Amino acid sequence: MNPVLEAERAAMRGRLEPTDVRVDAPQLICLVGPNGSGKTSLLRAIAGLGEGRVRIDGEDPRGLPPDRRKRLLAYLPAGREAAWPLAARDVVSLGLPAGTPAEEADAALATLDLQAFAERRIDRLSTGERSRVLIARALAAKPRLLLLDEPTANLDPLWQLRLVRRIREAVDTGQTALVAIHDLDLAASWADRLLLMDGRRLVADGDPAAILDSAQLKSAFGVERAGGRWRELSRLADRRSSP
Amino acid sequence: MRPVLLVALVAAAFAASLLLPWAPIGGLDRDLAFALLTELRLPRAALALVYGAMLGASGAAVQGLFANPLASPDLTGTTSGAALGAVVTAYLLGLSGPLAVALGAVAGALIALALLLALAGPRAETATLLLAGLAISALAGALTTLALALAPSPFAFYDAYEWLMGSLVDRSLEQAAFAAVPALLAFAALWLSRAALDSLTLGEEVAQSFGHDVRRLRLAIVAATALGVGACVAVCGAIGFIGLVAPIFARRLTGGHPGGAVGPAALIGAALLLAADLAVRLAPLGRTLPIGVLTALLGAPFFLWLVAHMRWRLAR
Repeated sequence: MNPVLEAERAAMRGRLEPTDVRVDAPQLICLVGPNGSGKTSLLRAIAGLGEGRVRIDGEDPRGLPPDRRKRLLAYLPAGREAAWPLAARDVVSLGLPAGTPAEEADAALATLDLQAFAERRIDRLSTGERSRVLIARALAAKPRLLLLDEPTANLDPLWQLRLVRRIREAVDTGQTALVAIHDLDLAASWADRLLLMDGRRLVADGDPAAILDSAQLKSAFGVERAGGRWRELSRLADRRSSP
Repeated sequence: MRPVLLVALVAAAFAASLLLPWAPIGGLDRDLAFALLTELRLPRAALALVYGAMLGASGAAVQGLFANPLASPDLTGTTSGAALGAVVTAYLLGLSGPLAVALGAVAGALIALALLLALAGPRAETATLLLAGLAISALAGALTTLALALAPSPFAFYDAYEWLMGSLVDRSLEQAAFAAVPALLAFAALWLSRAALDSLTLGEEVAQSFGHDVRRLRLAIVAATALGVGACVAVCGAIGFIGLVAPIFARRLTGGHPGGAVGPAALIGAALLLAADLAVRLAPLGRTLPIGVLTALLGAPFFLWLVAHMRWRLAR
């Protein structure tokens, strides 16, 4: 069987050094790292917006027409804006291949409890509701690979948890999710695997609990966990604050 | 049902444009009536149809591309650029053949659009876009006047005035074809861009992750708009505001989809220009107004109202 994802020398000029990522079977993978470490760039490069060789289920998404690509991968950027005020159902439909019955969009809305908003214009929703509509768009086509940039941003704690659970369910049904996230505890408690980025490079890849206690994580974030809480490393130890 | 209704509306406007006013047709013998229809009214109605549709479709595409409801061929300086290109070709270079003038206008439109992209950037804020468009229009307008002033023919100003104001009067079927063929090609390119334009709603990156080549889309829309609008301007002069208004109404029919609005905007643009031409001909003024004056008289207040009261809501 083909690996779910094979990215070789995925790169974005000036933002991401050539990076390899391989996923053999469906997993929930969290991507953590300080601001500017290259998380967004890695997601973009895998989505086909950068350089390098990417294969999803053995297929090169760049060679595929939009309708097939939508079943292979979905990319949710960190910005939660829509340029035109479409109805929520129409926004979700944009993520589906042309001619897909409206029921599929409605089902995607329902997974995030948005049935009541189907006809509402997206500019008339709250920030959190709009975020959920845009996430529903990314989940709608049930693609093999979900690339989600900060999906929990703008969501209240309840919806953060519900969303992570939805992503978990998607992974349990055979999808793979690569999720950039800032909340280290949320990442550790839900992820099968953690990718840690620092200085435009992937610096650690593996078991979440091990990475959370690793020296790379301390060095990347300048924080450490002590007694179940995160605290800033002492100034002397914080190499990130020195030039 | 809506597309059918729109097509019926355009067909009715086209028929009215051919048959009204009825008096001269009814009063003439058959041969003369036929000549009046085919040689005077048909080219005029055909040009109104083609030019209006082109303005509507390219307005919808340009608005979708810039993600801005106020981007339109006239407000962004495309029609002024085309007019400048046509004037320079016809009066300064002395190449007054229809093909040369059309090429000049297309080149002028292309330069204006390229300048707009360079000045305002691909997804400009409304203010930047309008300022850049204003600057390009002003520059093109001044250069057009300069070109006419420097033209060897002393009658250049007088000669060009009616055309510059926008007019469909006294054009031949051959001239109509010179506008229609490029406009049809341009329309085909815009029609094929619908899905990509719709996906741009979610931003450039998402559109790209779907597999739409945004850079190529931008080039296609700029080239198609320059070709179609340029060719129409070469024959009929600059006609304003249809390209702004038609897509705004069209998006209200398509639930806001910017790409889906391309077809309806073409139909609405055609109906609007046919209606404007009919109004110009039937108005009891004793003489014919240039049609560009009428569209500006109706369109400019609409534009002001849009800016002042509705913000961007209705427009989107």
